[in-house]
Amino acid sequence: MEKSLGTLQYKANLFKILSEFYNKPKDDMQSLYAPLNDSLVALYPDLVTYGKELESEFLELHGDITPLSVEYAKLFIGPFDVLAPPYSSIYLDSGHQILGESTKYVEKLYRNAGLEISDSFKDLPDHIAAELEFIYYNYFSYIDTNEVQFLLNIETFLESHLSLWVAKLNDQIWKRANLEFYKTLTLLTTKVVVHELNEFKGNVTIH
Amino acid sequence: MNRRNFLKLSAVTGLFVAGASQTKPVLNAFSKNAQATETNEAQGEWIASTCQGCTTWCPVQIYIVDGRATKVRGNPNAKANHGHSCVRSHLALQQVYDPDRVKQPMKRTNPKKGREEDPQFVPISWEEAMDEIADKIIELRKNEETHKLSVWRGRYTALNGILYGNLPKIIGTPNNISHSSICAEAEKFGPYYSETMWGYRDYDHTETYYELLWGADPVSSNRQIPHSTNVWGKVRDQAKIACIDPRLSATAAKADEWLPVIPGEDGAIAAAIAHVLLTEGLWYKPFVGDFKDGVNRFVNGRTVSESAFEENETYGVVKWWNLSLKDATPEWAEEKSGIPAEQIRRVAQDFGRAAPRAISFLSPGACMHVRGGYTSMLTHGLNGLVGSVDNVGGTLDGESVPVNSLPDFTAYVDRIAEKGNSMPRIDHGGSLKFPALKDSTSGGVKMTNYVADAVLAEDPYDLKVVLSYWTNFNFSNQNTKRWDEALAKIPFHVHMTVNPAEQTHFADIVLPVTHHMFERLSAVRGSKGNTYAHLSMQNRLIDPVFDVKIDETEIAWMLGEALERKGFPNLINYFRNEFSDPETGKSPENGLEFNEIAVKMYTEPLWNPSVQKAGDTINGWDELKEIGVWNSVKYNYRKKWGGNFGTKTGKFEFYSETLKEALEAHAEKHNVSVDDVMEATFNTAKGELAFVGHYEPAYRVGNEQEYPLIFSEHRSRLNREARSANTSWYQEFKDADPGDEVWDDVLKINPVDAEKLGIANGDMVKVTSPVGEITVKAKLWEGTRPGVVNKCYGQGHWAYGHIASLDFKKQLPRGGNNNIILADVYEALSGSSARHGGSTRVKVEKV
Amino acid sequence: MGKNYAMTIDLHKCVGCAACSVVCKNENNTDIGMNWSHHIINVSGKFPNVKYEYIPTLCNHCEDAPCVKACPVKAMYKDENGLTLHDADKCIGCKSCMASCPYGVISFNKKDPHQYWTEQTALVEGMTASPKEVSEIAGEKLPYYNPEREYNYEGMRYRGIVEKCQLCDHRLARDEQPYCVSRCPAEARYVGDLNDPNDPIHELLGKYGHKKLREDLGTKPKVFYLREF
Repeated sequence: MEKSLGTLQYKANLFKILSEFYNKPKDDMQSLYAPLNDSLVALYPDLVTYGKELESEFLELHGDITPLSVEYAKLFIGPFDVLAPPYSSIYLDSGHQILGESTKYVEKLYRNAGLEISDSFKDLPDHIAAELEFIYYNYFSYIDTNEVQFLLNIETFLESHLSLWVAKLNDQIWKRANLEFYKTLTLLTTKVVVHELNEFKGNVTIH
Repeated sequence: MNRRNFLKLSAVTGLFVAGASQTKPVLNAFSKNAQATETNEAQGEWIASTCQGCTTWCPVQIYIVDGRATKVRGNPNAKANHGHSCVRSHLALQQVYDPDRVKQPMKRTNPKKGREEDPQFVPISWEEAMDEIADKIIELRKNEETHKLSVWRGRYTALNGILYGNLPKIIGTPNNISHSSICAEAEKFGPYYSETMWGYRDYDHTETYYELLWGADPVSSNRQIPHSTNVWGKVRDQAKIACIDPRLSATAAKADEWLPVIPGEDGAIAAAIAHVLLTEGLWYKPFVGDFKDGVNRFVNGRTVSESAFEENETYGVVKWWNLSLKDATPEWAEEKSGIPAEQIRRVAQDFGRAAPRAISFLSPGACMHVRGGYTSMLTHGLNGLVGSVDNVGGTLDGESVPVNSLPDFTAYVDRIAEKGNSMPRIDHGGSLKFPALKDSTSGGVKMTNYVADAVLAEDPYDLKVVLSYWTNFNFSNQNTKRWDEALAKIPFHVHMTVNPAEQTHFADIVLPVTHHMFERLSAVRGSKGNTYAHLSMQNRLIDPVFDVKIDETEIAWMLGEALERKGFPNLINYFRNEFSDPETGKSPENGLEFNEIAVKMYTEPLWNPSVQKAGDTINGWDELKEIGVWNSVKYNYRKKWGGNFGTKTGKFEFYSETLKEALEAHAEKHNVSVDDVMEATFNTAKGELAFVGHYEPAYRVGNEQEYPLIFSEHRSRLNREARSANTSWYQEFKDADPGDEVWDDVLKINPVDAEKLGIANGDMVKVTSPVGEITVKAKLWEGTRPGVVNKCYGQGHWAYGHIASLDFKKQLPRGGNNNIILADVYEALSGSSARHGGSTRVKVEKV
Repeated sequence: MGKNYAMTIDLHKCVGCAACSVVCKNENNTDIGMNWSHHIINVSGKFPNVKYEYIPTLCNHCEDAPCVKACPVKAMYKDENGLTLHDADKCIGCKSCMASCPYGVISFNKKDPHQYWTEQTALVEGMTASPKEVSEIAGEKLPYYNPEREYNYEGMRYRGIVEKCQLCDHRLARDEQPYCVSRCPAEARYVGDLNDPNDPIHELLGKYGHKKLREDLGTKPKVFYLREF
């Protein structure tokens, strides 16, 4: 239908969509699958099937997202045992507690990029959704300004932080999840992160 | 999904959609912190000014953020302090923003004056205040008694010549009274009468190998504190340091030798050091010269023939020996001073071996004694003996800082003023008992503290109108009770002040003035350090916090206008006609313009690049304000050598022909002999001893039976001339003065004495002298000798503000003001008040 | 690799003037009684052989910081540059850190700081100002408030939390020395990076030898005292 987007725009969209999927399930999630597919096709054709799977798992709910909401709560919120806390400090810091040194670290990276956690975001700075949105923001800003610093922000963030724990989150979810949806999501996320990192490593100086 | 939905989705989620523009990212987790990266940058700007917290008068810079003064540092353009400032400079921030400042002009409504009287001040406008003052002055002029006006000055800037210098002359009074005599004059006596230098010396710390500090505490208080502090580690590495001080001062704590002299007996040690230098052949021969045959005839107890010695740069070394030094052995000095002979000898030998890079550092502490003028001569004479005068690593004069003088005012002095100007002075300076011999002139210094007595006795007459700025005379002068009485007696008294001080309590009109460091443009000259002299600018860096005016210029201008309204235009005409912008020729039209033009005229030789001078080149007035300081060239050593000392003989005088002439002139003026002058000034010298540095036994008020302890006072590294006690930073770190306590004002007493008196640490004690009493906390302290109690000056304010006083409303002071108990005595030869040297005895009782 | 910040204080140069402590208050907007920089004074001997020693103190930014271990909410933490930092947002004011700190350099805000500046009564009505009046004229509650502190710490802390020396991490982050270092008139202080072999701190430590406060406790302080007062 329309003209296609540029690579970086697809990347921005990809991370934004992944980020949205880690928020509480909402009815209108349906609208995200098409742009997800577009991005994957354009960027990482080998991952297109994960996108499709995600969509079909969602469609199997037939409009009732309750089971997904329950699963989301069990994995990420509680109130009882949180099966797979979506925070970096759980996986990276000694003590396996929330609000660790890695939390402080991402806050600093956010700050350096001109961001702070919004008051309306009632969660911790190292929540996977925030971290993925951070990458989206940097791609967006790069497209907007052409300032290389934003790409360097992404590289630093992926290399020194996100890539270090996303696979661990994936492992945890695969151990504890009941439904396939979040297994697929974290697997997709992990693979995207790995691909991205590889691109940066092979292409350190981006002009 | 259709395109419309997709666009909507794009708007909600912030996704890129082909064919549509996406202007900003949509973020759930973040908000853009506009300040984040940007804010970790300097948010302010450093602007030059001058700190007058002590008389080092440091060029500083103030950090201005959004029009607020937030930080202070040394001005990096200054060579004297090379960008450093001391702890007291920072306290100024709490002064300028002190809510306890006077915020508008006030007028007294209670005609009765006294400490117990509530002045019942009411606000008035500046115009009303000026009219009231002008009325009083016009009345004096009508009655042809303008001499009954007195203008009092405390600290000042280069513009003091307007309010303090010329205004009184144009109105017609000789009674402009400065605070100089309570500041330090006695220590200038020796340098003047040996090398005609009436001023503070610069000491060449970084080049010296020995520092002999006579009550001086340069890492803590005047002089050159930031520079001294900065190089002290290096000085300790390369030099030996000896402190002669009754208390363990901050510098003594970091010295090689501490000589805890019995207060006032410094002269004995100095004479003994001179004795050792001479008997052991340690004097510096290239400066002093030598015996013609090279054989040292300076032998203990023996008179030497003057003809046997040939001097180079000095005059009278043999006379000095014969008159004053030949019997002054360390053993003799031990008896007088309480310092072991072997320590005196060791110090003397080390000092002599370091010659000529050896400093004998004078301070008020060792000279502001009743007989301390001669201590000043003795201690400065040591610099002569080791040849450090005007020499590398020694005691230096300063390079010149050329400025313009104020325009001539004589055309504005009318008959009435002339008559008033010719009246005798209120302060008695130049009278027989007060020679006050500044610059060889009898009466060259104003006897500040004696003004209280003169007012009370109406001798030579009464004062009717007093204009007083940057002063607090009933706090800062010894025996304050007399001042309370004198102030209560003066019918009309205008106090120009930053805070409501003790003196304000007796004022009829209170005028709020600018804080010198932040709220006024001016210049300050006369200071030096690190071998450079300079002029430093003050600046209006912030909008004044309150409705304040600049005392020395703006208020003088407004008073000139008010006097003109009432028929006496001479003052304002002087300002209008004689002052004009050196660049544009414009005449001032208001007080602020007058202020700026006056500073600009004064400093013109420094900012006008076409004027030849030895020092920085500054291109224009604005550049001077921006740089903030003009530095001279580095000091040219030995420029006074070769007969350029300015004395009668042209030499550095150990035997002062210059003093002899001045004393003889003073004696002649009063038709007496020099011996009579000695007697009248409480000195014991007879005959020619009066013309050389010599030992005089300490003079004390109070008999030993009734008042067994000697009271010794000292300065604080946090004092901004006794004006910083109302800042919390001062109180929180008061224990940075060795032995002192935070938020308190303790009497330091040796544990041996304390035990005898049954006093425990922290007990409240009453300290009584023949003139007054204070009640303070006792601190048991090994840093003072038995028989001597020690206390810091600066606290004990019963006015000033909510921190300085324990209870302002009840006039309850925090601690006790030393000047309540210090007797009003003088070093009369220099005209100095004698607050040091243990001039007052006390008794201490537990309460 | 992150930095490993440490401070040297040359006691030989130090004159005990407390400028470090005053300027610390200035930089960090601390209220009366909240002194991140302070001192220990030791006096020994009897007249006239008296020894006076002034030892400036501050948070030691211990490598093995007891406060970090004691803090239940990770408000006290070691950052990537070896600093021991306090996060005001997380602090719950339990004072465990204060109890665990052997150096007594952590302060607790019993009330909101600088309340004085909200007072509306003048000392002498009509003649002097109320503190609030001055705040309003200056445009800041604390008239000489330093806003640069806000960058990575609360500009002024608040009731119910602790506070302590952050080694001016906002200044370090822009390659400036902490304010106490910059304003020390004796130039007795220096902060350097132990991880950087070219940092002058190694020369200082090597030249003079050094000691630390209460080394016996195993906290591994990062404030090194050189020479003697």
